[in-house]
Amino acid sequence: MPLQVGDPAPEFVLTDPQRQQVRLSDFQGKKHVVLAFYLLAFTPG
Amino acid sequence: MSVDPFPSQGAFARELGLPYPLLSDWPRYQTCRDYGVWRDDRPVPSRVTYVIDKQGIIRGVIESETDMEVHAREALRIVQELAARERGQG
Repeated sequence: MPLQVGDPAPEFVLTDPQRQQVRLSDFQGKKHVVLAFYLLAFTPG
Repeated sequence: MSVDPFPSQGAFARELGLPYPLLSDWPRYQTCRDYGVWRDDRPVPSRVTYVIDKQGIIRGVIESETDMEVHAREALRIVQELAARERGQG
């Protein structure tokens, strides 16, 4: 069940292709974040 | 983001020339679980896009398994609304 509008977004720690960790809190107070879950690389969406 | 290992993500991002990072939730899939998009019946997440504001509050949830355009269109619209609201306050 996805989260709802108005919910606090859970902190995440994800890895970019350069193996650097990216956290939601990196953007706190600085940028809005679009987090898109998609199926698999090399697929259309 | 997806559940692909990060070398695969890097190749995909280079092929598409994307101006934003493709992030990997492999191998634990913890973010998929925390955001409620994990499906026990398939080894891939649901197609869901979240818009999160600067304060860490979810401002948009876009769910469509079939219409990929609506994810980009709605996410852009919501981010533009957030930006317009900020300008109004500033």
